[in-house]
Amino acid sequence: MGTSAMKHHFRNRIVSNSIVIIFVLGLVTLYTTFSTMELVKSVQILFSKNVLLKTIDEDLKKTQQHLTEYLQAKNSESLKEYLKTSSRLLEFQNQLNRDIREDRLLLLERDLLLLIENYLTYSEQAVQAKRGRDVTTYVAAYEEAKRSENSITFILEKLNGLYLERALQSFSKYEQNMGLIVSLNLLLILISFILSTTFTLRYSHIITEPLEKLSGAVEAISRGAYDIEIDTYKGDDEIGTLNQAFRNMQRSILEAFAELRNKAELERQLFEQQMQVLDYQHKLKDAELLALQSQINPHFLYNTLSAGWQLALSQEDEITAEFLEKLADFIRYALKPTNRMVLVSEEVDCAQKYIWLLKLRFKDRYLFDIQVDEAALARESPAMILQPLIENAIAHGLHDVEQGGTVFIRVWTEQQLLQYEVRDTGKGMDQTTIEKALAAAQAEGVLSYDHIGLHNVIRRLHLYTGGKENITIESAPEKGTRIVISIPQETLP
Amino acid sequence: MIQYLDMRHDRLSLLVVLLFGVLLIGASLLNIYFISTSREELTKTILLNPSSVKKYDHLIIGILPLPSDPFIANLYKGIQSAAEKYHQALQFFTYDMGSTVSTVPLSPEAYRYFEIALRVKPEGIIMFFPAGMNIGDFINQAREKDIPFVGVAMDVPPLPEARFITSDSASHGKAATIQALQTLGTHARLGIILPSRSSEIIQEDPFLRGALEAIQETGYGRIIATEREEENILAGEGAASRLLQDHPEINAILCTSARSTIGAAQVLIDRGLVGKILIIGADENEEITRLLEKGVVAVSLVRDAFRMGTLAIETLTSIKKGTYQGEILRVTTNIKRHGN
Repeated sequence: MGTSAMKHHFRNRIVSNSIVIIFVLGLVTLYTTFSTMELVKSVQILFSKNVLLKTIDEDLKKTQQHLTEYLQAKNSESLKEYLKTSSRLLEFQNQLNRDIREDRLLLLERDLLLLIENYLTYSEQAVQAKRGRDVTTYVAAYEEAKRSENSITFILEKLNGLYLERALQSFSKYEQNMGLIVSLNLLLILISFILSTTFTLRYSHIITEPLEKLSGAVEAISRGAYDIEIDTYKGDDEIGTLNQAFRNMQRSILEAFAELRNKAELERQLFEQQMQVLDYQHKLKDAELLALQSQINPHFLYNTLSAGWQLALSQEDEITAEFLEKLADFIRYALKPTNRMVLVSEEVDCAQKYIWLLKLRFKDRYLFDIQVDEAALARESPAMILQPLIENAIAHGLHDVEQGGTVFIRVWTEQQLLQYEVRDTGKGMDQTTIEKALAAAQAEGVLSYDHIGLHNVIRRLHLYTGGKENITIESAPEKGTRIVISIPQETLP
Repeated sequence: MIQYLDMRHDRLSLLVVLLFGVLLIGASLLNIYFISTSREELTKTILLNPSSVKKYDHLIIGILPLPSDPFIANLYKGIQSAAEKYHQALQFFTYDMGSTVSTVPLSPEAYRYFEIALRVKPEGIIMFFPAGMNIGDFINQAREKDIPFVGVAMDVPPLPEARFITSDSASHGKAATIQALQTLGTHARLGIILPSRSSEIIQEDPFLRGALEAIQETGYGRIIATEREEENILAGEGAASRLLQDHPEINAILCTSARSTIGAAQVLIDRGLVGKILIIGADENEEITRLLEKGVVAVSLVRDAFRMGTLAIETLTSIKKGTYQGEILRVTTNIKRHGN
């Protein structure tokens, strides 16, 4: 019911506005009709007495005529007419004043009334005498009636003149008022016309304006301006319903657009991630290739070294045999795929073998201080982390230092972090080199051959941990370099 | 941003409708006011409610000439005053009798009114008659209808009847002459302006007879000439001019009406004769009072028409009561001077 009623609001409004206009015009019409009727009535009143007197005069003349005809010819038709008109004359008694009043016109009315009665008495006498064939009486009565008729006519003339005179006196006052009333009516008609026109125009505007606005909004949206602001329509009519529906539709469109945008963004991010993975894989391949390129056939070398070890054993050269053995173990460890996970103990073992080999070559020129936390040994770590860092410290830190230097190696765990620290007392790294090394993790393309080991470690760690590793490089000229690598255990595969 | 007008708060429309309502109500009230004032005007005349007008038990009909003469005007006043005193309604049937009410024959209209009066049977009829008219028929007709009747005239008719109130032109003429003689003494040379056709034979005019009687009694003074008023509004001027032109020796003019008094005074003023010729006037009105104050008119002899009116009503009352003695009642002539 509520909806049904609401749907009729717009129609109701049009109907009510029309009713208001019709009501206004109706009122004015009624008003002017009323005032016109009153004016007409007043004019009728003005001359009502004259009309009455004229009627009396006519009836009197007719009565006299029929009386004369009857007395002359004793015509029954004349008698009938006489009786009819004389009865009418008698009826006028009620409309005329009978009392003695202190007013000239009322006294004249009384005279008229008495004269009519006088006339009717004599005329009746005449009729009765005529019926009784009493000629003398009816002639005398007729003469009296005739004289009464003359007196009545005389009084009628006087009264007519006086009433007319009074009517004219009243009319002069009336005319003044009539002029004002007519002017007032014209003014009111004019005002009602202006009011109705204004009302019609205004309500036409009020009623069509929301439709125009809504139409404008529809047009704007059809042009693509989906976010155009539409004011809330306060009325609870059909336009309100349309407005609400339109706003809902606009909101739905905007929400659908936002959803599509989010989806596209997600797809774009997924694509970027896929591209990044592909890029990582590509870079890993590059790193592996670079590693392979940096070595001559490792299996051949390993087999050859094994053959040399056996040869040295056969010739009882134990030092050479140990050298070849450690070299072969180191190469075997190093030649395995670098994207594998190993125990920290294995990494430390590899590092120690590498240091033994270095000491064999450089005697005591380079000193090594290794501190490994027992708890760290059982932890897993990406392979080939420690050795390249030691190699980097020797090759780039201490190589050009005449007196040699010390390399401090430390491995420990701290909460969920596996920590590697390699510090040398060499010539240090400039800032550009440090930045370049740290940027290796993000770097596109092929790795640089300068500090290749360090770069390789950093990039691989980045790939393993998904960027969660923390690598710190601190260096001071002629004082050495300190590289600390923190690997969150949960990031490892 | 698309904004809507708020239709629910369309106060302007409400204001316009209210304004119209006020205008319509105002116009209606004004209209009602105008119509009611017009109706009010009508209630005084056409729509007069008889019950709102004072009612009487007795009606007296007065058949009189229009009050164009001070004498008749005072007669009206006297009748009205007495009727009020005796609580009797008055209905005047008035007719135009020309300029000199006392002299011309009775108007046919007056006859008709008399007939009407007889038919409507009032409690009394008062009727004015010109000088010299026989009123016997009127008295008889009224008696036949059993209606009390009183005649009023300036002079006693040739065939005196009872039920009559009158002044006396002879006494008037005598009194006026004595006034002139007292002022001028033996040198009095009088000119008299008589009413028009007051009598066929001028010597029979009652005013002139009274004047002659006064001269005879005093033994001095002379009537040089008489002139009759004509039937027009400037009759007084005409008569006075003729007297003075034809008889330059006249030093006093005796007048018999207000019109002749005013006319004679005007002639004196125009000719620069004020103070040289004496005017003995008749009647009283504002103009005569002014002329008395200025000394143009020496004295004015006023017939007591007011008293005639009151006497007429009193006579009707006594007829009704049966106490009327049947005498002719005469009123006196008063002398009006400057200051009284």
